[in-house]
Amino acid sequence: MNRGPTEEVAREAAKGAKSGRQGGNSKSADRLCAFACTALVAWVFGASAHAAAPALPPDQLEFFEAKVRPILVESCYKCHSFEKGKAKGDLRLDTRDALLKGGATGPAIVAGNPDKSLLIEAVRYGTEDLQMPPKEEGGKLAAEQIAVLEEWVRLGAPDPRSGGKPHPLDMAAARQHWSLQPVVKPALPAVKRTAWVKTPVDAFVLAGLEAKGLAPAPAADPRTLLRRVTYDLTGLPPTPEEADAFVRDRSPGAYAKVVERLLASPRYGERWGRFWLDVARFADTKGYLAGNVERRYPYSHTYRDYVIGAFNADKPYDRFIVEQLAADRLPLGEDKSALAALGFLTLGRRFLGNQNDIIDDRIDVVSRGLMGLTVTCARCHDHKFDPVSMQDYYGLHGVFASTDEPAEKPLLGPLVDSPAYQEFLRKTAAAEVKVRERARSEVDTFLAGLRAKTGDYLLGVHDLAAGPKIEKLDLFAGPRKLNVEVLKRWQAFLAAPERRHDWMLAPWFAFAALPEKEFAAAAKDLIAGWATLPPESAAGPVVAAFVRTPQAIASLKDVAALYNALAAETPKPAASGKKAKERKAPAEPVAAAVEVPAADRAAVRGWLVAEGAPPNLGYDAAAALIKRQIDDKTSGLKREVEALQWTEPGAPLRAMAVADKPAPANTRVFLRGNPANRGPEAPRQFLEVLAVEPRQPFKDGSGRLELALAIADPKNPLTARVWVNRVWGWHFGPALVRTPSDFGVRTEAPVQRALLDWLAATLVEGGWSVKQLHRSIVLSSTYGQASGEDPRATAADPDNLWLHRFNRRRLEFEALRDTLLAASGALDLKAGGLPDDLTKQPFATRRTVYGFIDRQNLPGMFRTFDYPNPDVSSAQRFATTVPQQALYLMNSPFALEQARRVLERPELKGAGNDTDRVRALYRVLYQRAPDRDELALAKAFLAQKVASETAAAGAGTERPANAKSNPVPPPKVPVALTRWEEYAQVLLLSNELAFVD
Amino acid sequence: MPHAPRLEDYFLTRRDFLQRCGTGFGALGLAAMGATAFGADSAVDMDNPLAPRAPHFPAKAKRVIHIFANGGPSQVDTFDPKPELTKWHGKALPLDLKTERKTGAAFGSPFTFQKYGQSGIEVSELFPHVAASVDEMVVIRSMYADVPNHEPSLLLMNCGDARLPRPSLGSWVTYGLGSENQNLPGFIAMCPGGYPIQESQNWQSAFLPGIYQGNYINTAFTELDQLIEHIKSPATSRPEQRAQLDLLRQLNARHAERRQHEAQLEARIQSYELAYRMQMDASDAFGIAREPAAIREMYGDNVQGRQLLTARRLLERGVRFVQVWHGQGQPWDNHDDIEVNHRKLALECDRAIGALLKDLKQRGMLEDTLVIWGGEFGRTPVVELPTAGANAGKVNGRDHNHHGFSMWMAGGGVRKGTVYGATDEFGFKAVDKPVHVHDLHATIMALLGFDHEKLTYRHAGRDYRLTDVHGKVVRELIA
Repeated sequence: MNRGPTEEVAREAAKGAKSGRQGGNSKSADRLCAFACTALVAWVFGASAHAAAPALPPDQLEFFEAKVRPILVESCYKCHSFEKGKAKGDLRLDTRDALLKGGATGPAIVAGNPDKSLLIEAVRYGTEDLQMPPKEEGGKLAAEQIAVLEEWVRLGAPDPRSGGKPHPLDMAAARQHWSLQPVVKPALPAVKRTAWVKTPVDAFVLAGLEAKGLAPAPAADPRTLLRRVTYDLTGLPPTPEEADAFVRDRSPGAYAKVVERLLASPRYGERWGRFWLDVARFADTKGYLAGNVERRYPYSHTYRDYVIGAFNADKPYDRFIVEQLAADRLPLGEDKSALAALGFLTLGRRFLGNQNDIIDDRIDVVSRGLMGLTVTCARCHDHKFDPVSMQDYYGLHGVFASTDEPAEKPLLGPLVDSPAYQEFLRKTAAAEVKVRERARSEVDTFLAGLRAKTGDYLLGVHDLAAGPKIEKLDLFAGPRKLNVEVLKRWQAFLAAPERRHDWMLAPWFAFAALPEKEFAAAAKDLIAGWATLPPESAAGPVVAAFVRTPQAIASLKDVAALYNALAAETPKPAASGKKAKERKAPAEPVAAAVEVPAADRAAVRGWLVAEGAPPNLGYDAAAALIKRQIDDKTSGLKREVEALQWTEPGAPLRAMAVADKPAPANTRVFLRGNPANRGPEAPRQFLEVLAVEPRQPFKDGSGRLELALAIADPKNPLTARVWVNRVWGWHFGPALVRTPSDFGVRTEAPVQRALLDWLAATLVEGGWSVKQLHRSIVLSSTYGQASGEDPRATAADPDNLWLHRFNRRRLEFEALRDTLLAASGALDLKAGGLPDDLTKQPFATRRTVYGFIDRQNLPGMFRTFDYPNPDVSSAQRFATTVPQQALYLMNSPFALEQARRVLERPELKGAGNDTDRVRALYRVLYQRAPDRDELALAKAFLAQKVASETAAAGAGTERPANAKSNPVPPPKVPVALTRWEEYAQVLLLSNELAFVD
Repeated sequence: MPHAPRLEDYFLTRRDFLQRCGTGFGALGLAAMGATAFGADSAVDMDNPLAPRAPHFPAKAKRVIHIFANGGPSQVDTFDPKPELTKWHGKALPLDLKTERKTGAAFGSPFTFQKYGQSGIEVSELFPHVAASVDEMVVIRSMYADVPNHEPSLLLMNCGDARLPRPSLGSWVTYGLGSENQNLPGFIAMCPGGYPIQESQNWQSAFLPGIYQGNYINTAFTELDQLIEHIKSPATSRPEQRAQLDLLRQLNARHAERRQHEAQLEARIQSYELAYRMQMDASDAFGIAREPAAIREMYGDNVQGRQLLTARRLLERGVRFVQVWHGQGQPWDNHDDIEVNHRKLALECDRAIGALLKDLKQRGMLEDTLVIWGGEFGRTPVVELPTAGANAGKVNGRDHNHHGFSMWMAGGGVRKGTVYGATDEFGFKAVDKPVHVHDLHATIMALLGFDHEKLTYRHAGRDYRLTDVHGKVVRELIA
């Protein structure tokens, strides 16, 4: 391994970190401190060679060192240097290159021209928004210091500081980083113990061990090896029969036969597909959405099934990538099932619909998930360490911004007409009608409400005209509960002169013309005059109503109230009873007092609903005004429509697909990540550091297919390396590169770099066959080693970097739950389809991979067992040991149910006596026989008398009335366990069950 | 099977753990103390991720209770008196600040303010019991956030980012300090009746290990097994379970003997003993019936009283971070009837919060317990206009206001009996010494002994922190 001296320091320091705690020597303590402060520097400096600094004339060098450097160090480095780990405004001032490159606002200096140099502008405090150093960091420099900097720039900014690491965006330098170099298949190293080498993997591992003076651990015994490989490839324990058969089979091909059986099992895809779902940050829901909106993805399960199927079918990994990014752009023929792969892009969190966050999530899952490159760091600024620019990021942004989700999701297969399908269509149509009817009823009610306020609007227009001019109509309309748009319509309508002769409005104008003082008397006279009109006169229903009302009209308010009463309609009985009652009450006094003949009421209504009448907005305009209200009222009904997609057996399967927009477009860089602040256009193209030169912009639609092909290109240095590293990690525990989703320049080459490259090259050579990759790993002697620790080897290789043994591992959540179900005999191996809620009773008994994942409120059980955060692509799972895990296994109804079920197994029921029963238990749970001591322990436990009173669960407490989403429902109370069931539960709790050696 | 993330980066090695384990389970906490630094070489032991750890520098505050008035309490009706606003009542203000909905004229507070304590800080009639401890508080009247919407503001206040999945304050604190009591969850989020808006994301651990996520408790319930999942076996008695665990220990010991007692095996063995103790400790911690009648009376026999008293018992037992929400949804979101609703809400919680402050003080716990009160933002000093389908058409409430609002902190090393910052004369916008939510976070971390820029976690290629790239410690808030 070719490592630079600084890396060695970092390594030593890391050791110091450990020994230091045990009181190690002071040297390593010092190094530890240095490491803590400069770890990043040390790692990044690495072994990369730096271009030598151009030699400066001595006088210039002296000027810089004596005058310039002190100012920069004292006044600027705090916020703008690598050493301090800061680059505010993306600007570093600690190397010449960094200075010339500048920061977010451009180059810091223009050599030779102080007046054009931002640095000088800043220190001069000339403009208000660019003043450096800032006031809180010491404020403006002294005049002579400013003069020095000006002089320095005028001289061309002579600067010897070429040290430090190369600029992250120096692509040529970046391509020197081990992970960005082309993959070259290494020759197999020579080893001494050739007999140990079963697959080429072993040659690399053994060469490393021999060089280190270590020997591999002895081979694991057959039972251990079988249990290991069975869990490893299928996530389930071997059956007792399989264990017996393997121990008996002494033929040389016995193990290879087992491996083939496991790789051919449908259980394999369920295990390895689940690993992929961690990378794909898979979940069945969209995350938080406000309001009563459906959060479930209707066809997320089609992506899950696609992934599982792809592993089972040994779909070439490059094809797997391309389908997940761009299956819609591939010639698929009749079979469209590959479209389901696009769920990889679509099934992330939806961030309340924020498009840029959704795109960021997709860029992340693509770049980190497939290439181990943290591209999203370049969302707000060029990547601080890796060769990824904002141009790169927004180039990919453009690809995904030019990608859409089709409103009608594509079918996965030809549509087959069936009664069930017809039923689905019928129910969907009926549910959609309900949504439309509800919307219409809201609009009708709204419009009726506007009409019933006819008097209020008339009064409003009058008061507006009478009072001082009001700028904000909202302030006026709000307290009167008038709609501003409708008020404006009334204003315009009433302004036309002919309205004064309209039978509906003429009385209003007449009242409005009365003097405010003595209004009541004048109104009385006016009405008295109307009363003398002959019945056949065309005065109309309004005049008639005023004549008829016994109520005194004392003000314009009373007039308005009578108009309201005339216009009011009896609420339709169709509206929901409770709401209707609220709307009706309380009746206004004038309204109560006047009787209106039906014909008159109809005439008024006719006037109000006539085309052009102010309250007759028309359906669409009215619906737009109360959009929010309509959304609220119809959201539940809309959810019913959506739910049919997963509750109706006749709903055809569809893909959570994407498609290119008709007019793809580039994104302009969001300066500092702010979409409101756009910079230069970023062409849609592949990442510069990885692109085949000269880099060409994407031409085909959004560019997604080209992006996919560039990632799956055999020449891409990252894709195959990242994948074989992930696979290795899922087999061995730690991966070869310990940060499987970060192969950036801060990531050191792994100790087993040659092995990694061999695996990567071989993967590509072998047509990207994943099963072949498994074979080269699990058939190796390396994989077949025992996991026990050898103190000498452990001392020399504490973290097992050199693979001197196998790593003992604990079952993760899925394997543990599946194991409990397998043990109890309840495991249902039905594959695929809609997911099951794993927390609901009666408990689902299918494999855990088919559990419904709600990313918003993931049940505690998942979190407790280190299930990965489904919001981001996950590189590795945590492996915490916490008491909540124990509580779940001891107390959860699910765990108790399995303990009880074990004893129901035929093997247990058929046992003749207690000893046989214990034997049978050991056999089904551990695939072995108990020894004498274990039998004795069992006997003693079963004979023990223990008080079994009171397990009393808190039954009977009511759920609080408004408990909308209570994640801790009161447990159902199972019957107390029998002594035997308690014994079986202990065996399920054991380390023997939970760990794989 | 566990795939341990890069051990040399984050975690103690198994052997370190084994050595500590060798001294027995009781010594776990002590052994882990002082062995910790954060940042690039943060040491979190996956086999005991809640082991107590020392912060960057010594600090007064050792634990936190965050009382969340979710929905957004109105500052001008609680902790930010504005006589000028009353003078302008009914008139259009000479300000035009964007809020979520349409607003109208100035809306003077219907509540009266009076001076309290030695410090003479003015508090409204809504919070007489809280105000009795005003000398223990620093009242920040110049808080501000980014947008006037609940969802992003809740996430900002809790997780330091308005949209993206980031660990919550409580998760960071628990990650940084571990917990003093291994038999209880380190971070508990209480909310009666269901979740607040944005739900469990408010206490998410995001990319930190799941153990640092807030443990949600529905405090509308009172029975222990409804409060904490799986805390009690419904099918085995305590003595039976003890007998089971005794057998388990023997079986596991035999298993471990053949495997050189590897640390992860030991850790799992211990986890059963921890779980067993947790069952007992939890029933004690949540047993507020064990409190003297006078204390229960002081807190009041309602949901708020019960949950705050429970919170105190948890803090007393070493739980690191307790967040107490007023209720499901957004109770303080009074777009209408603010006089009635704010009065009702304050009546529900004032006595309990006042009691908590007094109780912590009399127990000597206020010294090292940081109490934080506030919402995700405040409310407008102007009236909200009616919106169809929004505020029942009433014109007597206030809209959301992120431009300026009040929060207070008490105990735990804050500069007590002081007011910090100010809003404009109407209480709309923070104008004097504004404190952004990031600044508040930075200050809270400082009160707990952390440099907020250094408590980081490497994820997806970079070192994340609560304050992201923002935040300035407000020294004046610290004693």
